[in-house]
Amino acid sequence: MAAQRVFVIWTHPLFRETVSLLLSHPLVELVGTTNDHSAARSQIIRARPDVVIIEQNNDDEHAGEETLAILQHGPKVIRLSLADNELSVYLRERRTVEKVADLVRLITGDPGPEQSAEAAP
Amino acid sequence: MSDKIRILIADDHTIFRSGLNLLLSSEVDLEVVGEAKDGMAAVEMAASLHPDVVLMDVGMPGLNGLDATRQIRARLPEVNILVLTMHRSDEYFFQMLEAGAAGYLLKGAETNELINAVRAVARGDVFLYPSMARRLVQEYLSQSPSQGSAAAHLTEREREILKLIAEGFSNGEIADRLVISPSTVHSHRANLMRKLELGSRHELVQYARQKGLIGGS
Repeated sequence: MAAQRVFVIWTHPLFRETVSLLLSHPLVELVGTTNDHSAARSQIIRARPDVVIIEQNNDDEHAGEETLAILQHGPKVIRLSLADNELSVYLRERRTVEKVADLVRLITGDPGPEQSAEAAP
Repeated sequence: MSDKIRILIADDHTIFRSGLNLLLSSEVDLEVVGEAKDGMAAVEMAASLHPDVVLMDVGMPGLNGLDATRQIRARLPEVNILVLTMHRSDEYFFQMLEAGAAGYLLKGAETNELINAVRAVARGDVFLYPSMARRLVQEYLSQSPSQGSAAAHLTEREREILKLIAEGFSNGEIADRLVISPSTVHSHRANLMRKLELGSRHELVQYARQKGLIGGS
């Protein structure tokens, strides 16, 4: 299986760096990070990632919507909130993070031994 | 014996907690000795691991970071607490400092700020996120020094009673709730007024409001 190319968009530098560190995995290749949603569009077009991880901003639910709009028919979009322990694949499924491996599984598409995904409401 | 700074991470966010572990462990002078996913686990692990620094989130399930900080500082005064939170509000900030935290950092911080903060609190210094430090200075300048320092010396029971007074409970109702006698409540109230240099129940209520003891957790 080829490594999944991942791009991370996150405004908090500390969280962006921790997520990037956690993605050190043979099946994951980090191809770019940014804290700037407006700059993200051109960077993503150049980097051609398979997966984009984007922050779920509970203070501003519309943050990143323009970026998401161009991604809907392209890479898989994983939204992650700093406020709670949930990962969600944009418009498709939602799951609670029990361990770091859950994030890697979601990126690589491996359902893992304990499939816990639910349909998004 | 290692001379590295021993760190316990208390945060309910799995990804963030694990990432912080990797981030801090990559520094030659830092060692993460444990991860706690809630306040109760943080208190228990602090007691068994004796870390130099606890990196403490505020909002956690069960026992929150504020109460966990109070308990750790009461049992283990040598352990330094560095708060790492998304909360910018004065309420959390001042309560965490009064609970005994040595540092307060927002999750919007840069990586090098976090590492510098850990090193600072480990050597006994205070580290505050710059915008929060400004608020502390403003608060200090806006009140009498004697009242500010006295507030930090209230006992757990006095804080509890102050909060109930501010919420409108009578001495009798407070006595029932805390399973103590009304005269004991009266005595605590008198001590509160003496320590805070306040003259009435009304002033106690106003003080509790200013300190954020009522109107949210």
